[in-house]
Amino acid sequence: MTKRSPLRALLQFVPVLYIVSLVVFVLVYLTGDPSALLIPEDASEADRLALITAWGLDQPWYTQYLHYMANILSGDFGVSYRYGTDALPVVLERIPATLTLTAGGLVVAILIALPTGIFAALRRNSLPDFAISAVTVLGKAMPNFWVGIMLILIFGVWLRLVPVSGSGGFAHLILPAMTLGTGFAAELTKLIRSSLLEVMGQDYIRTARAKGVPETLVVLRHGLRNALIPALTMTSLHAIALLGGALVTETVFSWPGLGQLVVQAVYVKDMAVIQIAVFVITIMALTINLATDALYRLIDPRLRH
Amino acid sequence: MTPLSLPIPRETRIVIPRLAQSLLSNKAGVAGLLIVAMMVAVALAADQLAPLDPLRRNLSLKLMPPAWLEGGDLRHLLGTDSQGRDLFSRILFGARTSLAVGVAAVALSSLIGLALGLVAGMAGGKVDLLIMRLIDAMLAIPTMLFMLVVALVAGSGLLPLVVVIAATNWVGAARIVRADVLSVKEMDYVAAARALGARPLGLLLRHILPNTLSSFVVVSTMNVGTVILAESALSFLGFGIQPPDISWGQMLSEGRQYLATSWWVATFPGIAITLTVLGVILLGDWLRDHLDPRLD
Amino acid sequence: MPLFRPTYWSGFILSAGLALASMAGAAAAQTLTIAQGNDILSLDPANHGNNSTESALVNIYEYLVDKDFSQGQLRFTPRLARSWSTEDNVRWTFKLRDDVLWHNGDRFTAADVKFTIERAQQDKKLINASKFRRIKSVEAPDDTTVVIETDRPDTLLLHYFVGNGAGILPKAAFEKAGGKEEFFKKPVGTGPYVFEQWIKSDQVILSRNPRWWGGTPKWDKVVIRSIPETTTRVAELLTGGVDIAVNIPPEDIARLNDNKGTRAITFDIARNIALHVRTGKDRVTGDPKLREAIDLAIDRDAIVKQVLEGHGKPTRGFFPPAIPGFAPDLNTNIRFDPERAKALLKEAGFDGRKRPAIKISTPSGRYVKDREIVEAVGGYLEDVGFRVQVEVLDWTVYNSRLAGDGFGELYLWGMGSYTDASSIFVQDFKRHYDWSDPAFEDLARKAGNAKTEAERIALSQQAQKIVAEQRVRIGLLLPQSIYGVSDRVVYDGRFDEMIAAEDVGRP
Repeated sequence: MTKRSPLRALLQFVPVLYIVSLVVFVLVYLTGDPSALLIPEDASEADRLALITAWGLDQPWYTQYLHYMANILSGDFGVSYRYGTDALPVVLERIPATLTLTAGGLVVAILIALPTGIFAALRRNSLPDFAISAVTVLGKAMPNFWVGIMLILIFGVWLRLVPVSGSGGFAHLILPAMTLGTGFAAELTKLIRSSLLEVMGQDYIRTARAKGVPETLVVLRHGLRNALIPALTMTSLHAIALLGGALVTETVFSWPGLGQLVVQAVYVKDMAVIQIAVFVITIMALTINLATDALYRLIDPRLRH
Repeated sequence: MTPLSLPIPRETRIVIPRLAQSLLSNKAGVAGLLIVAMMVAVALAADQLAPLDPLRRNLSLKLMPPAWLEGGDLRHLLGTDSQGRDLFSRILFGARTSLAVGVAAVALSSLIGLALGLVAGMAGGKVDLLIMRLIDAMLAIPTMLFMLVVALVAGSGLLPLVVVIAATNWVGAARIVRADVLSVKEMDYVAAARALGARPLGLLLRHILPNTLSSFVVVSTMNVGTVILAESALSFLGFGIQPPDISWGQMLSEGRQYLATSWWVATFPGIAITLTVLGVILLGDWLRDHLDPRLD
Repeated sequence: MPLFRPTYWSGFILSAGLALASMAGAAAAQTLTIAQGNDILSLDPANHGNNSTESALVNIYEYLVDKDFSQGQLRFTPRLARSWSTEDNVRWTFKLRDDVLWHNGDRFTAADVKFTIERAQQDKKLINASKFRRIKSVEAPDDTTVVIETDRPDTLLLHYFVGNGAGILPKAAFEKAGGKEEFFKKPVGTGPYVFEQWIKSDQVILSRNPRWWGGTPKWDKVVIRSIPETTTRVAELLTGGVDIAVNIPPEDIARLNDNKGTRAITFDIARNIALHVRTGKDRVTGDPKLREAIDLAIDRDAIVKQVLEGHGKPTRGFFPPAIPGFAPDLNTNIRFDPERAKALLKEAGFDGRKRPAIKISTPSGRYVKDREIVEAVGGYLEDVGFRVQVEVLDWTVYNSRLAGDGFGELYLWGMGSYTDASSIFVQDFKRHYDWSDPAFEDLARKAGNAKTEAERIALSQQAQKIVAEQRVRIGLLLPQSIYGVSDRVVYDGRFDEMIAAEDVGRP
């Protein structure tokens, strides 16, 4: 494995980032003039114009865009309209909460999927198997915010087991992570189940059995290894989707992640924040992809060439 | 929401008798088909089935519980909402909008995906590269964020919503169609046809299109579920269907603040959404299993 | 660029610790936790236009004078200014307290007041840049005296020194920080609580100011959380996660009262809910008859009773009685006459087969029951023969649509946080409603030059009547605010909806 390929992947991302920035810029520009949101309604027309000039909003869109790109290349990512401060730290300070929630969601999904998937495969076509698929698919079929609110009402208000919202300690993570994890758990359970089933008919299982090794153990060992690569693919795709896509869950639980930030930024047309958030999410996605590739090679030596 | 991770088989055309046989051997598939068929029937016959005008509001009847609970009334089978409108009738009519959005958005996004995928696969070279970069860019932008921005531009309501969802959902279809076209192009009989001087368009219609159809159908079916969920998420964020149109996502979103006090307002539309998406997933799963030779 | 600066993580982890501490019951007796519906927008008092942001900032910064509605009428009471006087409503002299220290230990002086006013006037990027536009000059002849001159007689001067943008900032600390960005990272005020941390979209944390001039503040720590989802906010209150939760739906009142340890409080507020009407000739609402029909078709009593569960009062006007210059007749004499409304529609040429089409826009969740009120209004309008389309928008979108004049015939507006009825003159009626009236404009001009309070009040009352008679705005109701309050605290709510931690007691 040479070091060229991650670098290449990085280089390939430059045009993608560029297209993303242009698309986002044009779309946000089309949503209209943010100046309306920046002044109180009793401001005079002169005040309004002064503000528009101060922010450079009187320039045509291509001038604004060129100006914006030039600034980025010189390391200046612009100022958030909403917060009136540099936009980059506004975005960066959300990353810990977002990564925590993403990891939490994935862990919940794995914790659910691993035992249930194995159980379903070993007892295939039994009633429990059917019940497990029904429940996991149900988790996927329910709107996220509904699941979130129900979890709050059941575990927070009724049973009083966990804190309702906010980004406190580990306990605060439980409900939002469950909300995000249930949908993904369904897919993962199905994957693990079918990977195990696929292995069960293979020759080496019979060989192993002949040697007196317990069948379940063999199935688990080979089946789980079989499931590893597709599960990894699926998990990394989900991780990427959650980085900026957990905005509904974040709103329900007042979780201060990138999703909520981005929703608010979109509402007030906070261009600099939207752009940087998309950049940051894209870069994190790329990192996850590279890490996934590295893991593939670690797991399966054949992929090293 | 999830881009398809596993390659979908570029298999044969759908053969109806085999399909029916396979369906009967798969209980979950039957259940899915039944659910979807029921929802479609409800949507089509909402006018005949609904006992009351879904828009008729009566403030003095607001938040009335379902008929079987104390304080309920048989005239309002599932109770009433915060405006005193009949929930049962609203759910029946909501089926119409929710399914219409699902089907229309998927049809539109599938068409976009089909067109771009075919063009990319057939043309190759720079055109292909450009489309692939566009797809990469789309995958890099978080879907909900993109939907929100497009919704801000397009406004809210039925048609904008369809456009918004379609604009973000075509990527999966485009990738699959492109991959299918590329592999079909290399097949012997297509190469032979080309060598014999078949025109690209004819080639496309006669050989390539039918071959990509099966995976395309699977993706599109699964997408209907995604779209119905996306509609409810957009309703939650304030960009959903506008009154007087009724959709389940809108009802669920509006009813969520009564979940603790008048649970039925949000619960019944929530069940309707869940049931429908469940049906679509089961149906889609079965279609995928059936059309996937590896699992045969 | 240090992408993973340790401070981000430390902030996140620190907040985790604090949240755990606040969960710890007994310790929480010294911590006041308030749940608002949205995050604060800024720590800069001059750079936001948002009630809940100001509600947090009043704990950090102080005004020159306080607005006091506790007697049912607006009074100004001393705060940083001990007293004030004017003879001509042009030249004003404020005598300041001499025992006030900034959070950093510096002494508060008249130079700080001068700085605060001039900074707002000069920085055009500030949202409240026009707050002090009538002030021509500010002088600080000595440390405890401020002399202010307005461009013309202005009976509203004291009103400028309360509300958004009125918090006084420290000149020396601001200049030493080298700009607003640096200063507001760790802002300094004179208030009873010191800024500790702002975790955006989550919480603002304040701590007791031991050197406050008003005595020892009541709470060790004040946490102001942002919980946009109503169900979540209510759930936090029920489970003891917060002590005060704002904007509780009326349906949840019984639930809060039945729950052990919580209760609901309701109180009058400085806000009115009205339909604003676009009267351009290109719209059906350009016809005064149809506007009157809309006014008559709405059963305000039923809306208050059914939608607000009685927590409000019907009105045709725009101000509650505690606001100077409110027009009393508009809060009585409310007619509900659907038959007359139908007749008016007929007179205007709509015979039932042809129905006038009206679009009503409303935010969702911004004001108590906003969407439900508009849906009910829509129903009443349908009843008399209008064809109604209701447009529900998220608040921020709604706000930008308003500023861009992107609405249809009617839109719901909950004007609030005003301190005087002359705010009726503030909006640009031509731009927002496509409406102009010489008599109204004359009143506006005169009110701006009014020499006495009584004169100004008379002028704004006449103006309200014109606006109500012409139905440029159709007043609907004066809502009450509903908060959920934990039994750990004593609180009754404030007319201006500011939650000053010092107003919150312990039983």
